[in-house]
Amino acid sequence: MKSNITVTVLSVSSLLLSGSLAASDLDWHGFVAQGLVQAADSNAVNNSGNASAALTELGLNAKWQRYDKFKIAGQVVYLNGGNRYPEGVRLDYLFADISVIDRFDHQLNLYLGRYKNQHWLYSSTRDVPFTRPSIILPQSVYYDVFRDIAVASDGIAVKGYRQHQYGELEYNWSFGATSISDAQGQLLLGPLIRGRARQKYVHQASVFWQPADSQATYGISLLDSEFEYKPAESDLFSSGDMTVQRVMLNWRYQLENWELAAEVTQERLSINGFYQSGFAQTQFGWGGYVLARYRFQHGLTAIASVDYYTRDKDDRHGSNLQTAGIPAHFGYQHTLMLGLSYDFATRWRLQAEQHWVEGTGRLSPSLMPDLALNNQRHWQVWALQLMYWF
Amino acid sequence: MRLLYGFCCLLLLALPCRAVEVVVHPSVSETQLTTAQLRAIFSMRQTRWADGQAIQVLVLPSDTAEHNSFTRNYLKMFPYQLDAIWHRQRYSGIGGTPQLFPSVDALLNALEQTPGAIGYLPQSTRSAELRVVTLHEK
Repeated sequence: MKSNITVTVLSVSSLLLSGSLAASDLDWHGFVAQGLVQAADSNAVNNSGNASAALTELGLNAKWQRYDKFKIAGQVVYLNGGNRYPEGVRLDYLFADISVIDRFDHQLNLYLGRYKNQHWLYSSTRDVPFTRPSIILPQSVYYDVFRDIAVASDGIAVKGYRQHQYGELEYNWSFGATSISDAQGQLLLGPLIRGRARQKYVHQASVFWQPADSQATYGISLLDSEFEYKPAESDLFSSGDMTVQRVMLNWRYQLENWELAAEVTQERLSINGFYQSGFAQTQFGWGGYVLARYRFQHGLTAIASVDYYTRDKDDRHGSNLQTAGIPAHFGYQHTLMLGLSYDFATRWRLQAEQHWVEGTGRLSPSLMPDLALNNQRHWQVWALQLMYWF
Repeated sequence: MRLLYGFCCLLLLALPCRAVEVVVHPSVSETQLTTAQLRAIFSMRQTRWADGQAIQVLVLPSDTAEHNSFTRNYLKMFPYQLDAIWHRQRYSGIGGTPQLFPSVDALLNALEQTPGAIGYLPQSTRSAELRVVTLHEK
């Protein structure tokens, strides 16, 4: 899959060097966001629990379109989110966009390269501060540790829209993989790993339907992905394979001032090996959230969400974990969030939110719980972020 | 009667809308469009007219009465929904965004001079250079 990116980058470079891209074909935008955040009784933000400025997001994107049916788009971001994801610069997406069908009732585009995940309600805009509803999204679906893996993949994707007298259908399909850095692997699996984690593939499909004259949208998305772990020569862990499969339903209802959104998911996690040779476990996690927004006048918006997640639907209170010496609160994570955002000038927003959380099932590392830092069943996060986009 | 007149005046004041009509450059052959087609065009998903000419979408700022009237009456949407679609297109790299003009006069001028253009104007703004597109409900 890396070769796709290489080809795309080389193609852009050669076009630029040959001078065949005129300045008028270039469209570029970006965003800057800085905030303060604190999670005193968990490692959600940092290990100290102190207030932190690790809420930095910088992004620059560009689109080149010289030909009618072909364009290239890419985005580079710098993130500092503390323990939520690895700090640094990353290429969020870089793909060739080919228009296959462009009719009044049907549009279909093909994407090659590092394509963006278009399958969930906020998956394609979760990396842009002002386009997501809250600073920290509901973790049952938008687990921060998986952020880099879930935002984009290297491969091929298709996106289409079909307009009909009974409504509008959006459909998406994609197949690819994301390379996992050492830092990403440690967030996912644990700081003691010495080997390499790799995503073999991620295969996704989704459909969204909005009936004519309705303000409601209904969607379903499916995900199938496999990972592998190859241990180093001296490693505490064994080689292993992990399978993640998701079925997700979503719904959105938009009125003049009110906006409601919900996603529910069942996630199958199957682990073979890794902890020790011969280990095998399969469990089904349940998660979902309901999120409400109310738009007041003069750019003020209130937001509230309730998020529910349990790692194993057959052990919703985490009781079985205790037999392995792990506190039960690592088996789930439920959150109530309240927030406000204020657009005080054109392209400027100030956002603040408070999360009350019970459970630590969606903190990092994902597979090797941090029992020392996440020893509180109840904990809170507050965040304040100033953002500007252009 | 006076009470009814007063109520109507209050109602008009309360509505942040201004009646508009959809107009196109004379190079565009379409004379009727459905709500679904207008949504596809103003969501920047439909980029070509039926004859292959590139569609140029021209709009006023989202907080103007004209834009509000257009999105509600022609697209059956709220302005913030259209903003969200444009943001998604722009920041996920999958589509374009419309050309924005600060005033009705600037928009009128651009519509008259841009082949393939589509936009909206207050009904009181007449232009011999532009053609009005009617909404065709299937």
